[in-house]
Amino acid sequence: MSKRFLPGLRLHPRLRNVFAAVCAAALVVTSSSSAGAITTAPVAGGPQGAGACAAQALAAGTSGTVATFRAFGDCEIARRQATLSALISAVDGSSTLTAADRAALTTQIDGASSGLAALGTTIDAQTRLPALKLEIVQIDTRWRVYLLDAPKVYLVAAADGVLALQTSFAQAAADLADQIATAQSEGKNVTAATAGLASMNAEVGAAMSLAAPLPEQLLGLTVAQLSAGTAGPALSAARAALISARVHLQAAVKYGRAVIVALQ
Amino acid sequence: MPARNRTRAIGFAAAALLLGAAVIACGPGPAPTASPSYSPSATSSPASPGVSLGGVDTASPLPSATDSASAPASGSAAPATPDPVASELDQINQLINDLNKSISDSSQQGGE
Repeated sequence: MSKRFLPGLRLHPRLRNVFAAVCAAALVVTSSSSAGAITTAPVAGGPQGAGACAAQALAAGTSGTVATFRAFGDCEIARRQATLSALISAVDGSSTLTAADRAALTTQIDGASSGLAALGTTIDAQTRLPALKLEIVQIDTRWRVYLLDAPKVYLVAAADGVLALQTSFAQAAADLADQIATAQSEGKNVTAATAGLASMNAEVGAAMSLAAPLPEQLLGLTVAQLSAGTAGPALSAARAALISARVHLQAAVKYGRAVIVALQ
Repeated sequence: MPARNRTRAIGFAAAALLLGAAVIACGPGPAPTASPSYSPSATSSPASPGVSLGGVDTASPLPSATDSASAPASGSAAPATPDPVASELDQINQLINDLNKSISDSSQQGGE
């Protein structure tokens, strides 16, 4: 098989097989990461990068004029607008978000975008340097694009993704229960299979309990809570809960597969 | 053609026929499946169904008494049908993997 995929590559057969396996694994990773979940890859500081306004910041600090500060403010707003646009694309492209959560996130992102646009208009009209500096500070005090909005989008999507798996697991559990019943009617020992199914269902239940409250909690987080120091821990707790939920779901899959093996 | 030559020609023809019959009777050697360079199957020779190779009809073997009920009648080595629940679990596992990306992305935005 590896010869067919790599006809022109002269390698030792074993090396060629290893190379083919690595290529296949890379394809799997690539495809798996692009299936279902939010596909937009986040970049620290937004799509333009955290250093997008470094030149404007230097100019403002050096010359200290209204024009250079205004340019710096405009740049920081544009950087955030690019991030918000990417978040909207991520929300629109997510296959896991519920309609309600998608709408709520869209409203919040649009609100931040509108607010930042209005602040940009104010900054562009400002002619007094002290007032301009105060308005520039508002860019990252009234809206927390990177510390609140972006994590919120991805965590709500992940929580909805966990909750959406409940239906899939319920179908799998029903099918496994049917197989166990059939095996039992044929006189097979189904003790291990029954125990495995119960464990699978318990793991799924644990994951759902962890994820269920998260969308509402996350969507309710505000800039004021972030400034007060309560939203940050809430985001961290949500992330930890989702990691734990994922572990439970992975265990559930293992138990489900164990049921199939036990029935063979 | 003189009678002597005609007799010789008939003799050569008969010898050739006998030689051909001997080759056919001996067959091409070991069964085709033992050949590393050729592995006939029902799908690889659709244009010559029923052709006998070495006395073994590899294109359309009759199902034997030991064939399982689910074995394809063509005798080709089709993969076993995967358990539907196993497929469901594979799909679920894929979706769980997708969760990793969202969780990871949530912490990669950097500061303001």
